[in-house]
Amino acid sequence: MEAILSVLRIEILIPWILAMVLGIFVGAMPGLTATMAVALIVPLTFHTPPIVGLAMILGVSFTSIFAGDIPATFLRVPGTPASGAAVLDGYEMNKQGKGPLAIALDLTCSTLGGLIGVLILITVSPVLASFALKFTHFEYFWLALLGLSMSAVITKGSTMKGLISMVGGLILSTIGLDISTGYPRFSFGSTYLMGGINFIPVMIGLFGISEVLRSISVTSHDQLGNSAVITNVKADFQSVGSFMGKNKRLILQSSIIGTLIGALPGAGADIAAWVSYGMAKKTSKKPETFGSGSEEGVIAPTTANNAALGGTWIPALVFGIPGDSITAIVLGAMMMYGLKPGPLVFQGDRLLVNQIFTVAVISQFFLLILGYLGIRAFTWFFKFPRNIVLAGITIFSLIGAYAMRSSVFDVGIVLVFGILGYLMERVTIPLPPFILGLILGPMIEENLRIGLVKTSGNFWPFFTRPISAIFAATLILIFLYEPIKLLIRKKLARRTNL
Amino acid sequence: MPGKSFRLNQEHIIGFICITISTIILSITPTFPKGKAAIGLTGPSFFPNLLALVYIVCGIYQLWYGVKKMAEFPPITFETFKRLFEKKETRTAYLVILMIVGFILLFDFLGFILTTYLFLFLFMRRLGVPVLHSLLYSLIFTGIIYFLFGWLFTISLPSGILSYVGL
Repeated sequence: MEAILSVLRIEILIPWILAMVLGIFVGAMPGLTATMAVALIVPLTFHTPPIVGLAMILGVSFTSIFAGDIPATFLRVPGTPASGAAVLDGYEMNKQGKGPLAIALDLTCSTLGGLIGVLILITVSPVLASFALKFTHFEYFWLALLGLSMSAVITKGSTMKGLISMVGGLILSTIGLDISTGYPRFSFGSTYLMGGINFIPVMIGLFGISEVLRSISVTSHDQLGNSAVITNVKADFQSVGSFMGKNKRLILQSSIIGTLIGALPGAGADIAAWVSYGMAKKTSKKPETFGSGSEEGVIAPTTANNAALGGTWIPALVFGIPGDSITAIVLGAMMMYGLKPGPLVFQGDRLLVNQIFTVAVISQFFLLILGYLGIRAFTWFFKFPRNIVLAGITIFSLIGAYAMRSSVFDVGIVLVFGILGYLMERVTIPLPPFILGLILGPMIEENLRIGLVKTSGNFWPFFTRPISAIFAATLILIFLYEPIKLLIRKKLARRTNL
Repeated sequence: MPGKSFRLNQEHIIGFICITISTIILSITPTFPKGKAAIGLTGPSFFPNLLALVYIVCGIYQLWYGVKKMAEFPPITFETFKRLFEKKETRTAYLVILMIVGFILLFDFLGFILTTYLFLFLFMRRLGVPVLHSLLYSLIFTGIIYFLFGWLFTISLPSGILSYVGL
């Protein structure tokens, strides 16, 4: 009750709701991702109390993920990668004149999925946190490495490129004063570099400026200046109740899948949506209708992508390991607020944890209202030509980076990593493992080195302690799974040829 | 690769970059102080060296992969670089990078208001926004950002040369 009352204050509600409105706008703009929305909002949160900042970040992530489904349904263009699966049946329903029903189903399922995901987070986190208290440096080293490696393996494209991105982030994290000796590493005499590379400008560059550069370089000026012509954008809630009633099991199934996938470090809302869509098709009585305007095809991915958000907070809050790129940003932001995510948060800062849970639950109700208004405002959003929106994002990114430490050096970092992010995407190197590497680097190094000090340089205890051994084995399996699968397939193919 | 000549592709470039970064790290870390625990494992150079070794392996793999899949990736030649400057859209992206460089260099001197307004105006013009719209939206964005950062969060934004006229 104390937590509820403490977050329902005007000084929290106003920035929280405004952030959610921004989330609708950014999410609904094709090409702009939920990660970008969070990256844009973070610089603003450094000047607010932690709970205000966290409410803004939570709110913006929920609305932007949902809002991505609006252009997916009406324009066949997913607003964010998490809405990719929602295109399939949502747009087909729209073509059949059932767009208003599809988006109403989408909004209701997003809210329900988000709510179930958050409820699982609330139930599971404290239990996991008390278990995590048994972890020492050895376990934390493996856990952080496991989270990082999952992000490298799960992200689209080649595992090796994921690994290159991940190690790149880890290398960047070694710049600055050494954690135990205070020796300045790779700072080349620069006082700016001595303090290490701050993750916020890196993240703004990688996800904000690189996206601006990509949009500009692949879209013609005429297209950038055009507004989309769209009609019939409204939500029809009349028959939503009966569809929801008929698909109770599917909603629960998709919520659980979404939360579980979200909780896997490295996997986020986009993977959750696709897996849930595939699962729904497999378990459906009418799988043949999928892809041609099936209500189940709308319900499954839209429930799962919002449920995944609750899931991503589980490893972030309990272990301090981000579940996806959004929670990676959240973790970095929490550290900047002076908070240390991990099991001790559940003991030392119980009120804050309860406030986070409360904000996450209430955000679902706000999502329902703001999502509905967002659908109605969608036609208006699209009157904004993209070239003006891109200008706004660019300047917001630059000033946001500057505002953190009143440093032009940070603006330079934004530019450097904007260009790097653009180039990395051109050669299909994924960006999330890079930012996760930068954030988790100090944690991995610290735990590895302290562990080695404890064992006088002996690596063996990293493999012999029971939980460490499980983590180590899982890590090895993650990297060997694909090659082993390929090998078995080749052998089987050879046998059948014989 | 019998019968196939070597053609540089993007995978080779990635491999070279990984190996170059590793070489730089490995050439700098010997100047770091040694760790006190056994075999120097806990010194400041331990973790960067470890990462550099992993990066070398990644680099070698990428070089091998680039050779193995030579036919799948377009070769990088002088023409590739020429093409980078041919498209108007790509040139605009380079120009935006230059504009940001200009923004960084002029920010303290011209101050927040002038630099931001000028940057936004030039950015929008280059992207084809009509003059009047560019003037108007630049003003609106500058105002919103000033309101948010300068007024609401009381972050000190540089006044630059406008400080001479009392702004």
